Amino acid sequence: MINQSQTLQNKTLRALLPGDALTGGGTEGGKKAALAEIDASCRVPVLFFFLSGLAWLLAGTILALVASIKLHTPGFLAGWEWLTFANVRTAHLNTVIYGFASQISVGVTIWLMCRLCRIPLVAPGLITVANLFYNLGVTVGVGGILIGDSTAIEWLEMPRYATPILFISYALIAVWTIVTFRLRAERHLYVSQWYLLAAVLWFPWLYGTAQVMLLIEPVRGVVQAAVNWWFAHNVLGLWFTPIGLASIYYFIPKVIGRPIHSYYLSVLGFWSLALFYNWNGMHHLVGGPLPAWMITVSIVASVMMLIPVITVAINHHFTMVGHFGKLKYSPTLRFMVFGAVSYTLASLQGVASAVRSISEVTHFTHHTIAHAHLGMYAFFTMVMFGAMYYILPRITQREWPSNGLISLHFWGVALGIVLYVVPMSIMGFIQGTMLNDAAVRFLDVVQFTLPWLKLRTLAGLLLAAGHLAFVINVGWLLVRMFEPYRKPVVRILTGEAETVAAAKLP
Amino acid sequence: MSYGPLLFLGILFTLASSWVGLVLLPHRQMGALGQHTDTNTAAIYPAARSGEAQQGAEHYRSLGCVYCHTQQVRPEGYGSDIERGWGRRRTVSRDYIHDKTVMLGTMRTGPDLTNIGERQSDAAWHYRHLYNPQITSPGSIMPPHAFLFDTRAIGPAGRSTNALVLEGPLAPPAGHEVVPTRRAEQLVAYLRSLKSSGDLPEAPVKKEEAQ
Amino acid sequence: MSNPQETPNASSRLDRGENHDVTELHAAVLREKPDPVEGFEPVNLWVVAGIAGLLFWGGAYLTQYSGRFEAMEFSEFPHGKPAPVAAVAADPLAAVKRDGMIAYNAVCALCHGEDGAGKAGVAPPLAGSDWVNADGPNRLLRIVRHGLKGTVKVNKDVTWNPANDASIVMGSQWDAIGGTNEKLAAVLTYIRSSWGNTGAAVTPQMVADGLAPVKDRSADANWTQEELLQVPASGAGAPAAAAATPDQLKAQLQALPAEQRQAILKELSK
Repeated sequence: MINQSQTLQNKTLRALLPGDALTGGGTEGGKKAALAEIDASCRVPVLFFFLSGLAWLLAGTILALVASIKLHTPGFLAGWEWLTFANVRTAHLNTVIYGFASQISVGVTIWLMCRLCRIPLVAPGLITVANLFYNLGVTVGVGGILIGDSTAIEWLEMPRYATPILFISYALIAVWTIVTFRLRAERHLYVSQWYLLAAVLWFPWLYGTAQVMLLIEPVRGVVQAAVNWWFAHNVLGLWFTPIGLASIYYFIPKVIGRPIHSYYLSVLGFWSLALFYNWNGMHHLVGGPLPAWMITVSIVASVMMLIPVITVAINHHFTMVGHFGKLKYSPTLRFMVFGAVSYTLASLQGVASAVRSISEVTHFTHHTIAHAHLGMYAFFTMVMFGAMYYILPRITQREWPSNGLISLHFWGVALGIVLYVVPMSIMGFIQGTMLNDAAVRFLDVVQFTLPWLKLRTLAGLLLAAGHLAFVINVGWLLVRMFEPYRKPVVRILTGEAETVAAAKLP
Repeated sequence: MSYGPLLFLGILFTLASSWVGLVLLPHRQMGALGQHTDTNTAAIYPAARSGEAQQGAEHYRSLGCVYCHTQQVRPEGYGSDIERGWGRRRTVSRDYIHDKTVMLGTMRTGPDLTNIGERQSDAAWHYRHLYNPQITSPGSIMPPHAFLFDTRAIGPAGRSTNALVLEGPLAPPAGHEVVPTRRAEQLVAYLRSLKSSGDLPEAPVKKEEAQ
Repeated sequence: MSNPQETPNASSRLDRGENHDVTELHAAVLREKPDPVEGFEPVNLWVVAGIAGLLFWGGAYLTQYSGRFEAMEFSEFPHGKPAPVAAVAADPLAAVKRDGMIAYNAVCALCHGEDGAGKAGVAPPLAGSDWVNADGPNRLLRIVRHGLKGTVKVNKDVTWNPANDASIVMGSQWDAIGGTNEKLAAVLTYIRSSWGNTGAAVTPQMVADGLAPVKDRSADANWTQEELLQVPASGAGAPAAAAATPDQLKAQLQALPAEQRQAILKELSK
C-alpha cells in the first residue's frame, strides 16, 4: 500500500493524517487495517441492520401514535380486536425495542468493534444470517402479539415460538464479537470495547434465563415477577446502556479530536456499572408482594448507580469542555451530547424514583412511562441517531444530501422528546399524589390525566416528523450510492483547512 | 485494562452475582410455596381457581388487561390502596402461587383488581362494563370490548337470562339481544374469583369487631 | 487535469461535473480525527469522598431495612412502622363520613352512582329515598347485609321496578364494604347525609343492635319490600313480627338456614 501521506503536497493534509490511519501497517497483534478498508468491509452487514432497524422505527412510530391517541380517545379504532390499546402498546414496545433499537445497536456494535479492533469485518456470513433470523424473529413475534398470543410479561411479550429465533440471532452476534475480539490487531482495549463486549455477552444470558424461567418452565408465583424485572431492567442497563455509553465514549472524542478526560474514571465507571446495575431490577416492585430484602437490595443498588452515572458524566463533560461550539457543525455531536446529558438526567430521575418515599407517589403512574422514554429515547435513541450520522456516510462513502432534513430531524425529535418527558413526568407525580388521597375519586384522576395525554400525542407527532425526515435523508443517501461523488454538505471545521474549504465552496 | 480474560471474568461475575442473588436465591426461597391451612378453621388459602376462572385468566393475559390494571395491594399506610378498599391487607408472595402467569402490573390507568371479586361480584355489572365501560363508569378511558359479545336475534325461547340490559344508543336493534361469548363468561368468572384477603401468618388481616 | 471531453473513459465517475479541488475531494479525510485515546486525569478526591459516602449510606440502609433477609418478611419496618401523628378532627363525624364516602365510591357507586341518583336498569336512586331518610337505619342495615330484590317504592314519585324480576337483584354488600360494623355505620352515615338526604348518623352500636335479631339469616336471603316494611325503622330492631300471611311465613322459612328449615318442615308434616 502506497504511503499516501508522502505523496500529498498539502502540508495541512500531511500533518492531519495519523500515520496508521490510511496506510495500514500494524504493531503487535497483526496488521492494522486502514479505516477505509474497515468501513468498506462493514458496508453491507451494517447497512442491513441499520435499514431493517429504521423500517421497524417507522412501524413503531405509527404504533406509538395509535396507542397514544387510544389512551385519551378510547373510541379510536375501537372496532378491531387486534388493535386494542394493550396490543398496540405492546407491539409498539417490542417493535421499537427489538425491531429498531436492538438492530441499530448491533449495527453500531459491529462497526465500532471493527474500527476499534482495527480489522476488517470477519465472517460477514454469520452477521447476515444473524440479521435474517433477527428480522424473522421480530416479525413473527410482533405478529404473534397482535393476534393475541402476547405473554403479558413486560419486555418479554413475544410468544414462545418467536423468542428462540431472536435468541439464536443474539448468540451469533456474541460469537462474532468474541471472534473479532480474538483476531484484533489493536492490542489496547479502548473503553468502548469493554462496554460492547460486556453488552454482547450479557444479553444472551439475560434473554436465555428469562425464556427458560418464564416461558419454557415458568417458575411459581412472585418469583416470576422477580425474574421478569431482573430481565427487563437489565435489558436497559446491561444491553442498551453499555452500547449507548460505548458510542458516546467513541464519538465525542473522535469528532472533537481530543482524548477522553480520564482513563481512571472510565475504569471506575465501567466496573461500578457492571457491579451495581444488574441488582436494580426489583425497584420496579417497591411496595409489591416480595420479601423486603429483595426490594431493599434493589433500592440500595439503584442509589449506588449514582457512582457510575456521575463518574461518566464528569468524564464526558470534561472531554467536551471548550468544544461546545462544535455542536453547531456536527450533527453527530449534537445528538451525542443531547444523549449524554439525557443519560445523566434519566439516571438521576431513576435513582429518585427508586427510593421508597418517592416510589410511593410515582409508582403505577405515567411518571414511569416518561422515565422510560427519557432513558430509551432521549438518551439511547438520540445516541444511536448520532452514531448513524457518523457511520452512514463512511460506509456508503457519500455525504448527507440535505442539511435541512438533518435540522428538521434534530429539532423535531429534540423538541418532541422534551415535550413528551417533562409534562408527563410532572403529570405523573401529580397523578400519584391524587391516587394516594383516597378521597379523590379514581375517575377524577383519570379525567385529570387527559389533557396531558393529548399533549403527548402532539409530542409524538413531532417525533414522527423527525423520524420521517431522517428516513428520507437516509433513503436519499442510499440513492446517492449509485451516483458519483458529490460535494460534501456536512463540514466539520478543522482549523487551517477550514479557511481553505470555506473559500472554495459556494 | 487490555487483558481480555480479566475483562471476561469480570463481566461474568458481575452478572452472576445478581443472577444468583435475585433469581436463583428467591427461586430457592419462594419457588415452592404452598397453600396455608388455617389451624382454627381448617380453611385452605389460597384456594385453587375453578377451570372457568383459569380459562378466564388466559383471556385476561391475552387481552392485555395487565397494561392498565395492577393486581397488588400495597401495605397499609403506604399509598392508599387499603384505604380505597382495594384490599383488607397487603398482598404477599403466597397470594400468587396459583397464577400461571403472574400479572402484578405496573400501571394504574385503571384501578387495582386484586380483590375485584369481593368489591364487585355482580356478573351483570362486569358484562356491562366490558361491553362499554362508559355505561358503568362514565369518563373512563378503558376501551370497549364489544368483540367479547354477540349481538343476535332473540330466539323462540325469549330473552336469554344473561343478555345485557342496554339502553339508549347502545341498545341492540329491535328483536336482538347482546349476550356474552364464552370468552366473556370465562373472563368474568376469573374476575369474580379475584379475592386475596385470606388470613396468613405472614400477612394477617386486621381483626376488627366483626358482626 | 485532462479535458473531460477528451478522456477515453468519459463515463468515469470523477469526470461527471466533479470538483477537482484536492482539499474538497479529501474533505471527509480532513474531518477524520484520529481514533480516540484515553487521557490520564486523576480521579477527583470529591468523587472518592462521594463514593465513600454512598457506600456508607448503602450499607446502613441495607442493614436496617432488609427484614433479616427472610422470605416471609414483607415489611421493611422490622420494629413496626412509626405511628403517624393522629390528626384531631374538628368534626368527629367528618372522619366517619370520609371513610363512608371512600367505601361508597369503591363499592356502591358502581351501581347507585357517585351522585346517588341510581342508574336506569341497574339500581334505584338513594338521593331523596324514603328508605334512606327514615328515622332509623334498621331497614337499610338489612338491605346492605342481605341484599334486596323485587319492586321497591323509593319515594312518593319514584318506584323501582326492575325489568326482569329475576335478574336485577342487589346481593349482600357486607363483605364488599369491609365486613365490619364500623364500615357499615360509616357508609350509611355518608349516604344519609349526602345529596340532600337528611337522615341522622349511624353508629356501630346501632348497627350491632339493629342486626342482632337477624344474625343467623343467610347472606343469600335477599329481603323484599314487604318483609322490610314489617321491620320498624328505628329502635332495637324487633324480630320479624308473627307473620300474618302465608307468603310472609314462606319468606321467613326460606330465610332460615337449610337445616332448621328441614327440621321445621319435618315436624309440620308429621
